[in-house]
Amino acid sequence: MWQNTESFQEKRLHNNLQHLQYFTIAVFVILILRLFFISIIKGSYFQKISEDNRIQIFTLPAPRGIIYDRKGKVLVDNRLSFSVLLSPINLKREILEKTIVRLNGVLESVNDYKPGMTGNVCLAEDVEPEKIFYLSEQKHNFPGMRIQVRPKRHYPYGAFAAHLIGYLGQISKRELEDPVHVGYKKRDIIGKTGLEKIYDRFLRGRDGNEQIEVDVNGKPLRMLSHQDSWMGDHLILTVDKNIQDTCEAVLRGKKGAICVLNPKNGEVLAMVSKPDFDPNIFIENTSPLQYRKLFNDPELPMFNRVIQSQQSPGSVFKIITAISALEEGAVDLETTYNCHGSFLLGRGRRSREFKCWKEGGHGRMEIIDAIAHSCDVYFYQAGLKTGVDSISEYAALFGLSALSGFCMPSEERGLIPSARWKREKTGECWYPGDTVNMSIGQGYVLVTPIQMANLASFVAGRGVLYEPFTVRRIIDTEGNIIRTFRPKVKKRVKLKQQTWDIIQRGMREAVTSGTCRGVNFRNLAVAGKTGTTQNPHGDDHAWFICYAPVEDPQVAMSVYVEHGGHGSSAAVPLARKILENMFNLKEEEIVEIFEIED
Amino acid sequence: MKRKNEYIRAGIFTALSRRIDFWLVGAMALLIAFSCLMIFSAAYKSTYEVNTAYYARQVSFALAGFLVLIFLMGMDYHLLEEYAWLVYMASILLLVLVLFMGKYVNGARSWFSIGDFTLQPSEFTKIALVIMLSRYIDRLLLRRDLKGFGSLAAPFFLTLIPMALILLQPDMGSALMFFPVLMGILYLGNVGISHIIAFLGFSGMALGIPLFLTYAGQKQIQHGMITEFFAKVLGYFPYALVMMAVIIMIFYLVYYFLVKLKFNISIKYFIVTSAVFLSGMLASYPLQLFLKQYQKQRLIAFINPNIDPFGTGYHIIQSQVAIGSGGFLGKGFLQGTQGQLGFLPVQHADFIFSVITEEFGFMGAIVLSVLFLIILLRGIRIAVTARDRFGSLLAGGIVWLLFVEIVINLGMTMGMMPVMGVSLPFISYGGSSLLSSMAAVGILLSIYGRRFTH
Repeated sequence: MWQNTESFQEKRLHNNLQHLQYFTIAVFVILILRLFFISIIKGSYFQKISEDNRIQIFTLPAPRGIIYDRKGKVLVDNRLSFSVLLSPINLKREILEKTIVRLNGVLESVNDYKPGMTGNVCLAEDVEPEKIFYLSEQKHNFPGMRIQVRPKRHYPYGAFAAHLIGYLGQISKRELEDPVHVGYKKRDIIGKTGLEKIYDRFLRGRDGNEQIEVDVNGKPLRMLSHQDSWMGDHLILTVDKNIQDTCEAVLRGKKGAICVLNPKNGEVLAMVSKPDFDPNIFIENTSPLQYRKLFNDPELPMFNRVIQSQQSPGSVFKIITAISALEEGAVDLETTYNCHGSFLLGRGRRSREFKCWKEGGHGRMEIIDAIAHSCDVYFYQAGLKTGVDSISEYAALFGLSALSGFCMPSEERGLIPSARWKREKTGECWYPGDTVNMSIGQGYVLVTPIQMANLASFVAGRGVLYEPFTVRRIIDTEGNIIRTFRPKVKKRVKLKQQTWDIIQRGMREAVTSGTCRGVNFRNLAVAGKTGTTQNPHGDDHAWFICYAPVEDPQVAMSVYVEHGGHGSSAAVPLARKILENMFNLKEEEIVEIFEIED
Repeated sequence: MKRKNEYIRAGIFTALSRRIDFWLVGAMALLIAFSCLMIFSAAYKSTYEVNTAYYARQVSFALAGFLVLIFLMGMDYHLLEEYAWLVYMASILLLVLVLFMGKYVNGARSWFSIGDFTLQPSEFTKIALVIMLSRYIDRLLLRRDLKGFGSLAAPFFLTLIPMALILLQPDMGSALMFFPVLMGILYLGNVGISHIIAFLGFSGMALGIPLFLTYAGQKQIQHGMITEFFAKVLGYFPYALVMMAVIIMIFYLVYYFLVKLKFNISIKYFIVTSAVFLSGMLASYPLQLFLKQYQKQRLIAFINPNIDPFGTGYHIIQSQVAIGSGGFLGKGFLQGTQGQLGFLPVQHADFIFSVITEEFGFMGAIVLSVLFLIILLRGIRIAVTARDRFGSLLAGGIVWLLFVEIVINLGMTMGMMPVMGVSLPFISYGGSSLLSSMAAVGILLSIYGRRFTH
């Protein structure tokens, strides 16, 4: 054999083959070490990637809970909408781009897809059914595309109680960071205002998900797991759709607010603020321009006037003045003041004349007549005699300049001035003229419509005020009661029985013979008080509060019409229509006489 | 009677085992059987429709391969030495023809299409080249004429011609395979380690600089200061020339001091080293223009899959995911999700090892590696025991060829080597690869069977 020859060259060849053998073994050892590293040491890591590769998780959005009125009428529900999703995880870029170009041809706008995005991207929402039929037929031409049926919030009555119910929107970054929203995910839809916001936790339900095994083209092969979404809990409101409808109708085209309460338990029967908005536009794809238009509208449609509008109450405030004067003993049933059209404060040159709204004057007035006819001169003097501090004290007792206790955030407090407040605020001392202005609810006094409704409720309940609330019950989809809201006494005010009698008689006489004869029904005893806010910048604002029936109050309401004019001509007719509707009264029962008050 | 039969049987077996290396054949047969099984698995989709076309083709090629193997085993390998030129020229002719008559698949003209089957001549060229180089080096050794640098010119040209033709297809992976094959055979043929180092230096510079510049040009990777510096210098030719001059000066200084320190070193070493560096660098610039950006990216993507995330990088990641997710015992036959659901592209061809590891786990891969190791070590044994120097060189060359293919393929699936499109011998789907690998084993067996014959 040639190996046995002494040739140097051939010995070397033999050696080299030996080297090759060692080299081979060494390289295989390295390969196996690498194999060990990949499949044993990093095995679980790669296993997870492999699972992620083949399993895609699709979220199944839960339908939000339905909102019913007190009689079970559906106020807010959901409708079906079709969305086109793209799951680009495992697709090559070329395939994806082709899909997107093709989808662009079918759908007009394919939103926010950027190359390199992972996860499911929603390309288009609310796609028309015809396009969806086409896409599902041609599914094989759109690798990675997925059509999802999503429940969408639907407000069948459009702007109906829009401020109360609120609207939805995508969760913002700030909301997401808020600890209140633990458990919320990016891109979640969340209530932005109103009940949709306050009861979002209940309404939103729980999203389901589907784990689907897909191939490299994103084609679903089989479902690995499926978890149904849970519909959110339903709200049953205290609102009566019928009353709310009437309130909406009477305020249509006007600016203002109406708040109707049940004085016996605080249930909100209706709550309207106009102008309003259609919450449906926040569900559909609305252009930013439309949003801006809505939020920058000078008519302030997004502004909930019931809790946010602060105005002087005008003569409605005389109720507070009267109560404080009676309680402090400044006046009593027999006290009379002579009204001849004006009141002179101070003497000599520095005296200032305060006019009564009735030019000729009311003549000799007792307290009940003064309330009924809203005599300014009487209250100027009663107020002066009582003093600013007592009036503000009683105003505070009746919940003015305080939150009403209504569940909504962003409520305004209003303002009740006092001598101290004025000194701190303006640096000036309190003049008797300020007291004169305050005693008829002008000047610095600011209230919100819901505070006025509460005032009516107070008088109706003779000092017992229930906290206003709008949700009676939360029930789940099977009808189990999750939570019941019970009436809660917010405040009790102890006054002399005589004081209540005088105030109630005064308000009753205002209806029967005074400023608000517009609600003088034959079969329904209404007690009320009008008010007019003097507005130097335009038309006056009209106020009216009332409760009925007097013997057994079932309803208390406040009507506020911005730039409406006089309370008795602008606000009372609205209340009349509402009461007519609530108590099924016929038109001919009304004694139609107007007395213009100022 | 019974006893006699047993003797006869034992005799036949002994006689056969003298002619046939059963370890080698057995390991090969197991690998091929495994391959057919895996190609069935890879073509089996979880949609439950089995595409048996691949499987049937592979089986028929395996049967044809056995015929080729038996033919080559029976043939005296000295005929190959005699007709080496003919074999070599025939393979070159096929490479030329495929450029004009080949089927255009995946952007390359690498295949002849004959009826239902396709043949890839570059697979056969590898064997032809090994035969040719073995013959050439055998002749050189006969003349004891391997010292000169000039005598190496011929093996280079013999290698460069098929390489250039394959690059024209273009099939860069197969072409680049020829360099390590040449180096290995030169090493076995005792060409002298210094020549090989010089050549490695040259090709390292020529190929390394374009690849380095491509790497440095990747914006998505954070580069260090050194990388940025060299990228700037090498990217601008005048700067590169200045750097060359500096390097040559450093070489000269080292040489100068070594001589001063009374080391007896010929100036030849300094000149050769400088020449290798200079020529390698100069050669890198035309090569940089010749190689396309995607080719360069593909070669370096294994360093960082982000270089080509939607192309080669994707394969590299998914292949490792397949291997890694198999764990110790694998997901089970036909249960591999990476392969079955198509996350691993061309899973039945170049990345079949990943599919195997996914379904049979670490243990399956070990069994596979051991079978390969048996083939290689038995091949080396055949080279050692060969009757003559040509046989030894040829066997060594063939083992080396198989070794390079196996290592590049396995390294590629495990993210250690560039993705070059080299198939795994005996396992990957592909008739040409299987036929040429089995022909290689046939030649080994021919050498083995004739080790005693004079």
